[in-house]
Amino acid sequence: MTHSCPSRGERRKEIKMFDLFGNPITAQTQCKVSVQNGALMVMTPYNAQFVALIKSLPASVRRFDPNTRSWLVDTQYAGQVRDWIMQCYGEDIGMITVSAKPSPEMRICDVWYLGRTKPSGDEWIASGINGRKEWEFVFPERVLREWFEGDAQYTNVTTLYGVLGIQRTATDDEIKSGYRRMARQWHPDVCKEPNAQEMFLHIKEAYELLSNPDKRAKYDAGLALEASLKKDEILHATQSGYRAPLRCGYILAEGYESVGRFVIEKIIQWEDITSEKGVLVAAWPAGATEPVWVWR
Amino acid sequence: MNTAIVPGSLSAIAKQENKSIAESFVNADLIVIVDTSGSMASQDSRGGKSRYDVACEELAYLQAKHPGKIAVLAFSNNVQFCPSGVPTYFGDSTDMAKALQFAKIADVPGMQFILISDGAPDDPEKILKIARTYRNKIFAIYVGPEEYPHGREFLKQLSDATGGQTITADRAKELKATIEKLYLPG
Repeated sequence: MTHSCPSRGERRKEIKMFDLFGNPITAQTQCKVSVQNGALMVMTPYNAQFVALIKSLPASVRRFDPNTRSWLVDTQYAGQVRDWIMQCYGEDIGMITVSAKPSPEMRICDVWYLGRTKPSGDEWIASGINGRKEWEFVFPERVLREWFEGDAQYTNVTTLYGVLGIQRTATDDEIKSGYRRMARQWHPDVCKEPNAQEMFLHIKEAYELLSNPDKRAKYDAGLALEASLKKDEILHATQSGYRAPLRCGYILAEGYESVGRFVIEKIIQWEDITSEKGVLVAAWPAGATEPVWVWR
Repeated sequence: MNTAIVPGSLSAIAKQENKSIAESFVNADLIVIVDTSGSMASQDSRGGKSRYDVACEELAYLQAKHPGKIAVLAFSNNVQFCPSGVPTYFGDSTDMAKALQFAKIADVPGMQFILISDGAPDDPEKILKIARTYRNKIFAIYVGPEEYPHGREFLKQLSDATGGQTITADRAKELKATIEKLYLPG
């Protein structure tokens, strides 16, 4: 289906809008773009072609904010937004002055569910839900892999260290506590994700191998040899997106605000979410419309 | 790049068991380091084939016989881990020091090393120095011609330095039988 932009004369008669501050938007300023919290806030009358153009941007760099009824777009697309407004509304909004990428800040993120990574522009990202069930956090795959896979991030395979959510340098005690933590998260009686049984067995296998010093030494040697291979020689490429082994936690992270979300640049610490009822375990059962949470 | 996967190789086992190559490597107990320098292309082996081609056939047989147990490395002026079980042919000089330095990452408890070569290496002193750092024995198989034993002498020095031994498999013709003499599956 194709949509054509109405003529400027038609729009002037039909549209009456107000900006964020309650000021009426006249025909001359029916499209308004400002910079709010490091993102472009784009307020325009509805236009299917314009919406389609905005939606052609990667999902991580644009989102519709229902509260302000505006599009939030990453500032790097300021030039494109200006062109599209000209194309769809015949209006030149002029140069949009944007400051450089906001400087990173440290935050404690209450992540109640973390999804699988999906392609977004030139990288893969996973989105995270906060305690108010809002998709507030963005985790690039490289950041998750750096935390869970450590030195092995060169491969696109989840290592056994990643399966237990521990670092390559983990001590015997850290291996044991990593196992307990993951077994609790993925026990099929609690975790309702479709692959919980399979993941639980994988966690057991990972623990059995890594808790044996000789087998661990061989596995580390295997990782080092595997690292020497070119990517196309590694067999088990993850086609369907990386999944972090933990689905929730209080995460101390460095990042920056972008289009109303917090984009994590570096994970500093990852702690379980606990209460007097136990440790929070999150899962998204097949067919469910939202995650389920269990205190265990 | 040769994309064939030899049955019983680490890649084949990884694929079969839906594991990573690193996980399948945990069950390996023999590293075969194969010289694929230019002289290995000499077509003086069994049935007029090259030493390299015969070495590939013999290695394929052994990997099928001992599935998941043998890891293959190839070297010349370069060195490469070959989980598919086919040693990459480089056809250049014999930088054995580089090969041993690379293979050192797999010098872990319970591992055996067999080095297959047909010629004199580039830097004997450096090689011996690296070999002495190995905790496991290095066995060597000389696959050059019996009548030119120069390379064999060096391989003997190398294996002696690690407590291993050297055997000759003239022009790679009896390579698999020779490897089986040395290899003790765990």
